[in-house]
Amino acid sequence: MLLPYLLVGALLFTLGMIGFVTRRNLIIIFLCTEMMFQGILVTLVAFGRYPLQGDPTYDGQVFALFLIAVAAAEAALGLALVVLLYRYKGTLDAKAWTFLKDE
Amino acid sequence: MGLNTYDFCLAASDLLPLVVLIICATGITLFILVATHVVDFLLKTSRKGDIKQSTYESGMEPVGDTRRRFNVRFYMIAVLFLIFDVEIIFLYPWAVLYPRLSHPKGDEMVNWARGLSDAGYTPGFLLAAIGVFFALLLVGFIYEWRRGVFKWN
Amino acid sequence: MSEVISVSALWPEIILLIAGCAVLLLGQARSEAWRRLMPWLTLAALAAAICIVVLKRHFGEFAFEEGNGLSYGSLAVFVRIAALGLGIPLTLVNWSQSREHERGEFLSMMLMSLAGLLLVGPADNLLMLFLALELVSIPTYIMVILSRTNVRSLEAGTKYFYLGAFSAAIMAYGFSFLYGLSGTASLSGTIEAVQAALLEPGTLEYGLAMIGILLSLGGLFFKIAAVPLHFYIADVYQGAASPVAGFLGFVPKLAGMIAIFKIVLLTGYWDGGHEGTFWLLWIVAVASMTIGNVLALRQANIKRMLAYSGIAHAGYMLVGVIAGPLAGKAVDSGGVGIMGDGTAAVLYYIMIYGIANLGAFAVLGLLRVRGGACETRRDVAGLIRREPGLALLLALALFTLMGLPPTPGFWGKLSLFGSALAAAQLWDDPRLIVLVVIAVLNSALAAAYYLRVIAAALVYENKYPAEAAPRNAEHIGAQLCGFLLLIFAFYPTSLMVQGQDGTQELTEGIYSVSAEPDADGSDIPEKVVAGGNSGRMIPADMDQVVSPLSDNNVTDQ
Repeated sequence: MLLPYLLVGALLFTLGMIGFVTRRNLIIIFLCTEMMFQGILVTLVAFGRYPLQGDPTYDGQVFALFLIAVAAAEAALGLALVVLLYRYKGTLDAKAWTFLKDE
Repeated sequence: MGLNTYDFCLAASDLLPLVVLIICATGITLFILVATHVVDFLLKTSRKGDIKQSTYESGMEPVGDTRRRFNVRFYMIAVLFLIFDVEIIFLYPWAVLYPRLSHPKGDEMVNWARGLSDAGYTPGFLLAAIGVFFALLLVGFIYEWRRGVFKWN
Repeated sequence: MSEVISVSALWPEIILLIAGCAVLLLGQARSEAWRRLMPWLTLAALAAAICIVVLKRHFGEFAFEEGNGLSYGSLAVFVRIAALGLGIPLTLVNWSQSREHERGEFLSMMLMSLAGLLLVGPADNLLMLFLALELVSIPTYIMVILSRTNVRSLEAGTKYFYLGAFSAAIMAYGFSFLYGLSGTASLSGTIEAVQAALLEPGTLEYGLAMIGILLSLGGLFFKIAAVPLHFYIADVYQGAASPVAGFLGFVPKLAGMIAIFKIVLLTGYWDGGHEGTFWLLWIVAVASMTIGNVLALRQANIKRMLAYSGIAHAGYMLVGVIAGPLAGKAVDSGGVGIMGDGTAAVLYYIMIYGIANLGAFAVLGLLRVRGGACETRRDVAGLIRREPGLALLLALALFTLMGLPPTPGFWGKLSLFGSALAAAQLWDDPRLIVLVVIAVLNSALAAAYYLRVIAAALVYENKYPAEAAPRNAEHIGAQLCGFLLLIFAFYPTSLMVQGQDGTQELTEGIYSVSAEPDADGSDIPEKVVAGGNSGRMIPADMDQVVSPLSDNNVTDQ
């Protein structure tokens, strides 16, 4: 029973990762990291329910709850940042931000 | 009752009501969709004009397109809501656990909770813990208030 | 077995947290006088916390306190003293950082980040470790954004934040596999399951353990700015204000390195040598040193140069991690004592690097060139004529980073590379000698770009040299860094012994696991199941916790 959940988790994580690397809109990029976190949550809860050894524990679920909170903190920071960036430039294209680079 | 009888596994039969619901909903929607067109075809009268062609025949005039810019304050509210809303996930486990800690006797769930109480997570400790949690939220709230986030103008 | 840690064990962290909240609210106070208190309050909180730690340690009250996923051992004491001690110069050089109405937020975030660092040391639980690392990181994103008013700090903060969130996700995914392998989030409960899994290649457990270790370390390499996730660092250092860049060179690096210790300890690499972990660390160390130094060579901007050299320094530190503590501790089995302890050398080096890096950035932060920030080699040219004290301080910091013999940087490199040679002798492994040769060549290469800046500051002429801003606290902070560097130049052992004490815990962990015979592979799963109950805190209790859940749910469909 464990493997399908792990596959779903890995799929979400990988899709998020691919999106993070390929997308250019900052909001979409941020949503991709959120998707990676969702993959982790699925993995954690699955491991908590079907552990490889021993009895099921609550550790996975507790880990998942705290992960949601951390992801929310990052989401709040990300949204605030996106608003600031939009005010400066009027665009959310990641390629528009190239002040800092090697000479 | 309680957490201990909650089963994580879904059998195929558990999904049957959902499937029936989806089929019924799709069927009714399709029926209404087809029926309105049929009725319209049977009863329609042909009339054309500027008002008749507008988006909302007797409603307000459409202004601009839907992709207009929202006031940035909506985002501020959204950010605040996000933070304070998510904090609730910590209150649910607490609220489930706390009354069971001082419960006299009962099912396995209560006995398990009392085991926790013996290990040091007494009702007083949990009350203090949630107190600290709310105090931190309060600090955030006061900060936002003083910062003027709640002022619309 | 005490489940709940006593509040008295957590006073330093609690003080920092309360002070952080107080500073945040003080920043919104109406009267100017209250707002001027903020940096003083920050300083007072750090001083109070360090007093508590030192007094407790001095009076031997530092019993082995544990519970709630924290376990205060020797490593935690080192991290506390290091973080709080360096917190004072960090506060001083950031005294009037960011705009006036945002200073409360800035200082509050700094205190929160330091509190996170204090929690990384004792974290004995994957969840606690993750939360502590995020508590270190998330405030630093905000600090970078707040540190300057222009659009560059915003860009730097955005890049830092996005890559930080990405690396946090990678790390958490790795942690989830390590958790799944053992069924408990506690590190002491995970260690045996991971080591048992790593002994059996080809099984599902082996795959999960390798993925878990790889992803965890990969996420942590972001924190120390080692190679796969290093490319953000130059932009972040350049975009942030100089004192904040000094903060970033120490706090996330120490947190990441302590977490790397904890993860490497899980693999049992220091004990028996695990090939996968060895090659991972070896490749990352070599790549970090080489790429960092080559990129730094091309930079005219000193902040970018220091950033890229930070990648190289992360590579040097990984040399100590590869060497491990064993050669230093096990004198009876061929070790060489204090100079052979790789992990102690890492702790020593990270302190020295943090101080020198902060000193260099503090000087850059103080200097003004025609009203603007001082960033390039041309900007510091001729500094010795106008500001001799700051020029000498910059030279001292850069000589330390370079590793010139009398400076503490030299003792740090000596102990790092010496420990690798001792480990090579102990394990009879020529790959470690190759590593040391590459590291020494890289140190020589690094001298080129440091010397160019030193020469510009001390030798060159300039008609309009940079001048120092009249800020007392920042001057005192910079001088404090220089003073600390001089102390550790002449008394390197004082800090080295602290590092040695700090890593006591790691070696004890090694011996307790290796005491059990692991020649027979078939015995290991049994050992793990039996050992699950003797874990330090969560495992034994979890048996009680889960019994109601598991009784009714074993019906597998």
